[in-house]
Amino acid sequence: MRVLLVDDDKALTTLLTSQLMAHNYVVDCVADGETGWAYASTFEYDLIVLDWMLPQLSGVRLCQRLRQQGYGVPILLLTVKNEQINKIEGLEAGADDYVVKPFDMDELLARMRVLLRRSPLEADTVLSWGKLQLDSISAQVHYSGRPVSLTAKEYSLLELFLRSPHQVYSATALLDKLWSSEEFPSEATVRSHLRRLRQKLSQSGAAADLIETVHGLGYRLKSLVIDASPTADTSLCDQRSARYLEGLTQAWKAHKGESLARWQTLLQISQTLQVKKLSEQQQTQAMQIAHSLAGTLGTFGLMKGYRLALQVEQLLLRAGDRDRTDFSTAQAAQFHTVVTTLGHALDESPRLVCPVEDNPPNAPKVMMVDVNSMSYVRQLMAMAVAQGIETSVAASVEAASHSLCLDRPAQTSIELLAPPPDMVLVNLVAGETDTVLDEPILQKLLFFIQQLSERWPQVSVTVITPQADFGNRLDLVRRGGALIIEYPVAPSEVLEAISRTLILNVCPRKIMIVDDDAHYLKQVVQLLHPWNFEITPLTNPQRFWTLFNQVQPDLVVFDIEMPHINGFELAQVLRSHAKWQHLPIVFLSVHSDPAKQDQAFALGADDYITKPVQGQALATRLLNRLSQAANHLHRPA
Amino acid sequence: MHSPKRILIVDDEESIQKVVKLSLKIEASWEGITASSGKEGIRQAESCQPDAILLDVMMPNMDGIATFAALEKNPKTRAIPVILLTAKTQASEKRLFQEIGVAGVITKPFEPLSLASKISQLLNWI
Repeated sequence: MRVLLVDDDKALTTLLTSQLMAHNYVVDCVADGETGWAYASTFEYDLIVLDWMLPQLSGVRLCQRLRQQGYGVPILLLTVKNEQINKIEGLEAGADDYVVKPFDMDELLARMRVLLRRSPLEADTVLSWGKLQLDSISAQVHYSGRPVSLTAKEYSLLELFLRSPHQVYSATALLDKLWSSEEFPSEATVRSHLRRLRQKLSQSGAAADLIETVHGLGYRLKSLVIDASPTADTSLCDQRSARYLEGLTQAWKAHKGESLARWQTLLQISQTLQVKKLSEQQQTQAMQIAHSLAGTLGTFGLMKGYRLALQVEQLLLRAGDRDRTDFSTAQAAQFHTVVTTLGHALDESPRLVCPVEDNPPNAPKVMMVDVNSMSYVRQLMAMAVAQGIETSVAASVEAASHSLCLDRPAQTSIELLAPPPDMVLVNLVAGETDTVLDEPILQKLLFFIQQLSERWPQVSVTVITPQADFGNRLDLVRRGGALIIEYPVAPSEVLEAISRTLILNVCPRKIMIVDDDAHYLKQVVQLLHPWNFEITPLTNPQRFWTLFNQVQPDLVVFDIEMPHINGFELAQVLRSHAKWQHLPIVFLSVHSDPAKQDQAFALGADDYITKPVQGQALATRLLNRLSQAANHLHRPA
Repeated sequence: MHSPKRILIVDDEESIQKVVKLSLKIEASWEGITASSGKEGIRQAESCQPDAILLDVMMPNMDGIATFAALEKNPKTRAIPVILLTAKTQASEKRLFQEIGVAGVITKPFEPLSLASKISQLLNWI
């Protein structure tokens, strides 16, 4: 059982933590409400024990926020306030129980057990059915070690079947269990979701009828005895993978304790770091532990843990580089967050994964600008690292400006040694008050955003702010903000949003440009250079079809007037093909008359841009089309 | 197809020994023998004469580099090719390892079920 303890009374938390650990609870302990929110909205807990009086965000406000954001985890409130009115306030805020300090430890433990019993706890976090595995902590599904990408509804359906593997569910029962009372889907919707789920499982190598139809009754998982028997089309490779994964899982079960023990040593070291500097011996020991842990976790395919252990080693190495073992307060806090997140990553299951290259060429890079060292941003950073995003944190506007060369004139500045990050995330939340930062620092950050988007237009700017009404959004987008996220929001949601944007920015997008003017074509290619597109220029439209099929671009740009075959005809050919009916087509022409534009849109164009055009305007229009096309592809059914 | 081989795995972590052994067995039906320290590794190498040694770098007491040096000095083991097995390293560190004369370096995490192929490639067995 995993418990989050949020209390700033050190003596009490030390005692309570040791008591809870003695009763086999896994305890995360934090000292302020804001960090409590960051943890509770990031990790899964079976119970939260919350003090009423907390710095930064009170226990009652944290409780309210968790309930407002839909977190159903049982909450037990601790307080010295013993008035009836306080109890009512606590319970109305969403707490499930209320214990007055000083309390009897046995009573507290008994109350915790009652709350845990009340909650429909699902002991198994990893649900398996043959080669199918669903990890309810990371919400990931694998078949034979390969990931299966599911929509939220498909995931819920699969989880329900796996939790009751022999139960037959009618379409009506599935509607009742998985759709809210505010939705009005028909049984056909359920069947449609089931069909897509079966298709995805089958594409991953599972039997097409892994979820079988029981005529007249409903649906259930097909018996394993039948599913597990080797079929003619089961490849040798699959069988080997399954055997290896089975052995890997057994070995992990037998040796997980050793990795946990190493992590606990790292945790103790991170706690030491909060109050005093490390001895050289402790630092060397910590580096060795992190290094070995990374190797072990990577070998077992626990990739989040692997990346976090490497990050721990890196943080220690950087401190060592400067010939000092005294981390700053912010660095110590960052170290502690990464180590805590690493502990959660040890709950993952072993997987068959390809190794990470020493320097993955396309690892997305994010710089987080956080001037008030908020625990929330630290948490976000650790989660981003676990996902394989290369993350750096700038603790001041000056540091961020310096590393992006914004403090030097564009023409005279020494170029960045490394390319700029793919994204800069700017935090405008004041951690202590939960409101927007004070005016002077806010203005500095807003100016920074403006400078950044002018100097590095290809860098995507994400802003987290508690002021996200229309006026503020307008101001931020005018300054260059591309993604505005309203706070409070769970770090996992921020990570999801930035990952979506990063995929678009980081993966090179293939663009084919057809224009008979070779000189202009060269100019356009140069204009678009900073945006990392993979551009295929073509001057002869007669070669279009051959080259197009070789390249299979994500977007095409056509000039209109060209010899032999004009741009309209090329667009018609594409739209006549079932496969390319949704491929974004953009016209780039000197013709500005409405008739031509109407004709282009009538033929299925997605955009029409008139020459001459600036590099940024063109890139923005193309990125916009690419983003819409990606959304179309990934839109959940 | 891989011809039958016997590989000595020297690693202080039993879990890594097991996974490496499992991978070699499933991928190529190779035999894996194990040792948990440098000293034990040298003894095993002398007595079992494996086709190759997979040697962890970071081990307590006698690390991989010291073990390799001892294997090189020992007339009974110096002909056995040694491959270092190490968690992610800097490129410069990798070069350094190769300069001391090991037959190769394999980085953890390694690609599942391709370890035997990687060893064969490093030792020109294919």
